[in-house]
Amino acid sequence: MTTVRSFDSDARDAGLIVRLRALAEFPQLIWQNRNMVANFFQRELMGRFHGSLLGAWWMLVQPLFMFAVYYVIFGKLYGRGDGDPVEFALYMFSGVVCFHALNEALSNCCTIVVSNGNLVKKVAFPSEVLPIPSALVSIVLFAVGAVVVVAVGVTTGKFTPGIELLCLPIVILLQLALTLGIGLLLANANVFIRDVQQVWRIFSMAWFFLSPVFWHPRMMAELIGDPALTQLAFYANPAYSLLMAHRIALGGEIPALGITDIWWHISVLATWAFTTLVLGHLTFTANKHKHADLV
Amino acid sequence: MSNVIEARGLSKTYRLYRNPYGRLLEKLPWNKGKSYYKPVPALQDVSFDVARGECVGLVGTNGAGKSTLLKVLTGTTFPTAGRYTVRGRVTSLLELGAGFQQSFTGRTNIYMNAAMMGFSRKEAKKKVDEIIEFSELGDFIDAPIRTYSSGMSARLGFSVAVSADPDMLILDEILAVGDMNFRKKCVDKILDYKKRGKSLFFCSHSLYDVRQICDRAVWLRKGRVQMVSDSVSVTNEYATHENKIAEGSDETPFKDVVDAEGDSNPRILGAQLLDGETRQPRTTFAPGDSAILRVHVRNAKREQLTLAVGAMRTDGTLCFAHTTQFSDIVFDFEEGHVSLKLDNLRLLSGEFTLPIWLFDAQGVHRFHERPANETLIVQNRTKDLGLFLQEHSWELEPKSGDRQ
Repeated sequence: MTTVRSFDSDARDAGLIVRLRALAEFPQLIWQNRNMVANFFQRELMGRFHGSLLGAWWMLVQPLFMFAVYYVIFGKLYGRGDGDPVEFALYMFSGVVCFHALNEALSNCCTIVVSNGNLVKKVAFPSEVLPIPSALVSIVLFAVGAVVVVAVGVTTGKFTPGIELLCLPIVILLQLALTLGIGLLLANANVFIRDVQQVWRIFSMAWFFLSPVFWHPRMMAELIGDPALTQLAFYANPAYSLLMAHRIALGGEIPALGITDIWWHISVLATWAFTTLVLGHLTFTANKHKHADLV
Repeated sequence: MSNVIEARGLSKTYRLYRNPYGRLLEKLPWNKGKSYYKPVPALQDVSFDVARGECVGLVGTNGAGKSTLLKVLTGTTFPTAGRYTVRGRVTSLLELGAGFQQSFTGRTNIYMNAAMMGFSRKEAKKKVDEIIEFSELGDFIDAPIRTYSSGMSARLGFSVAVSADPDMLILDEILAVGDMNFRKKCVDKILDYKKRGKSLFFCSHSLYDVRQICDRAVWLRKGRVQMVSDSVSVTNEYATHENKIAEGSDETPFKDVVDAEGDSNPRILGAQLLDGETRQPRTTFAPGDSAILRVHVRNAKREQLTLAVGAMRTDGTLCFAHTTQFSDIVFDFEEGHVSLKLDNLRLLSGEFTLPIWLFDAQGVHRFHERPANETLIVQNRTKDLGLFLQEHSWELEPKSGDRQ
C-alpha cells in the first residue's frame, strides 16, 4: 500500500466541493479510525471511574440516586397537586438524563481540541473525530438513565413504552449527530476564542431551563399564548424535539400534555442534527489547519 | 518516482498577535488595512528531496525552523506557501510520548498509541510484546505512566514509534533521551531500519549523530536552507559557522585593528595563508595538509624582534601558539617576511583566526598585535570529531577464554 500525502498551499482553498466531499466521507473516516475512536472512548469512559471502588456501577448508581431525589423533592415535597409524584419524577428525570448527556458532551467538546493540544500539534491524525468519543460516552450515560426510566416506568406502570421504543435507536443516532455537529462548532470556535467555553457554560444553563425538562410543553404554551409563537419557540430549540422524542420512545406519550407523534419530533430533530453536523464539519475542517499553531 | 519527500518552496509565517482578539478584530470590515500581528517567518522557501532509502539529517541552531519543518512534513501544521509530497507510510516522532495518558498503564497506552498510528487491535497485539521488550520496562509496563521517569516514557514512546515499521521515520531530537544503553539500542534500531532500505529524516543537535547516521544533511539557518549536501560537508560548514556564532557575532574579531603605516615602531603589515607545497594562497585545508603563514613585518628602528603566531578557534579556544623565541630565532631586518610552516596540520573541522604578535627579543614587550587577514579553515573528510586529530591506533585484546 502506498499512501501519498501532498499539500500545495496554492490549492488549499479548494472550495466547497472538496469540503463537501470530505463531509460525505466523514462516516468512512470515522470507520477507518474506529480503533482510535474506540480507544478514546474507552479512555474517557474508564477515566471517569478509574480507580473508584464501584467502577462502572457508578453509571447506574448516579441516575438511580438522582431519580430518588427527584421523586422526593419534586414529586412529594414540592407538592405538585395536579400530578402523580412518580409520573412527574419520571418526566423530569427522563428529561434531565437526556439533557445532561447532551450538555456534558458539548461542554467536553468545547475544550476537546485545546486539551488534546499535544496530540494536535505532534501527531498527524484527523482531529475531527475528537468529539466522537465524548458524544459516545454521553450516549452511554444516557442509555443507562433510559434503562432506569423504563425500569421504574414499567414497574410502577406510569411509563409504558409501546412500539415507539423501537424508534429509540434512531433518536439516539440523531442525538449523536446533533452532539457531534454542535460539538465540532464549539471545539473549533474555542480554539480561536477561549471565552467560548465560559459563554457556553452560561448559555447551556439558560438552555436547560428553556427546554422542557422541568416543565410541560402545555405549561409553556399557556404562558406564551400565541400558538404560532409557541411552535416557533419549540422548534427553534433542538433540545425540544430531542427530549420529546426520547420521552415518547421511553413510554411517556401523554396526549393530554401535547406529547405525541414521535415521527414529527424525529423529523424536526433530524433537520437540526443534519444542519448542525454539516455546519460543524464544514467550519471545523475549514479551520483545522490553524489549530496546531494556536493550541 | 523514488523520492519519499519532495519539498518545494515551503514557507511558514506565524502570526504573532498582540492580543488574542486581534485575530477577530482584523476580520471586521472597518479594521481593514490595520495590522494586528507581527509576522514571524519560521520557514522561507525551503526545498529539498529525500530519496527512498536515504537518511537525511537536519541541523540548525535553536529557532532555525527545524521543528516547524518537521511539523509541516508530519502534517500537523501547514505551510503558508509552497508544496510538498510525502510518499509512503510515515511515522513521526516529534515528541516522545506525545499522547500518552498519564493515568493509564504503559500497556494500555501502547494500544492507544498504536490506534493513533492506524493499527488495528489485532496488529497491535502482535507487536505489543516486541514493544515491551524493546522498551526494557519490564514489570513497569502495567504501572500507570505517571509513575514513570521521563526516560522511561521516552523509551516507551520510541519503542512504539519504531514498531510501526513505516517507510519513513521523522524524528525530532529524540536520541538525546535515555541512558547510554538505550541510546545505543535506538541507534542500532535506526541503522538496521536504514539497512532495510527505509528512509529517515531526523533533526539533531548532535553533529556526531548526523555524521554517523545520515547520508545527507540539510542545514537550516533563520528559516532558510543554508546548505544541502553530504552529511560530512554540512556538519563541517555548520560547525564552522556555529563556532563563529559562539563568539557572539558573525563578524571576524579584531576587525577594528588598523594598519598604522608610518609608525616607526615594529609593525605587522599583513599575513597571508599559503599552501605548504605550492606556496600558492589557500585558506581551506584538510588535516594532514601543510600550510604556511607568511607574515609581513616592518621594523624601521631595527629592533631585536621575535614573532608569535596562534590559532584561535572562533569560539575563543586557543588551539596552539608558537613563537620564534622558543626556536631561538631573533630577527632585526628592516622589512621582510617571517613564515611559519605548519606541517601535517592536526586541526579538525573549524574556522580559526590566526593572531600574530610581535615581541621584543625577550618576549616581554609587545610591539604589535593583529590577526592574519584570512582565517584558516579546516575541513576534515573523515568522521573524526573534536579539536585536533590525535595520533592514535587501536588494539584488541580478547580474554583468552573468549576465543572459542
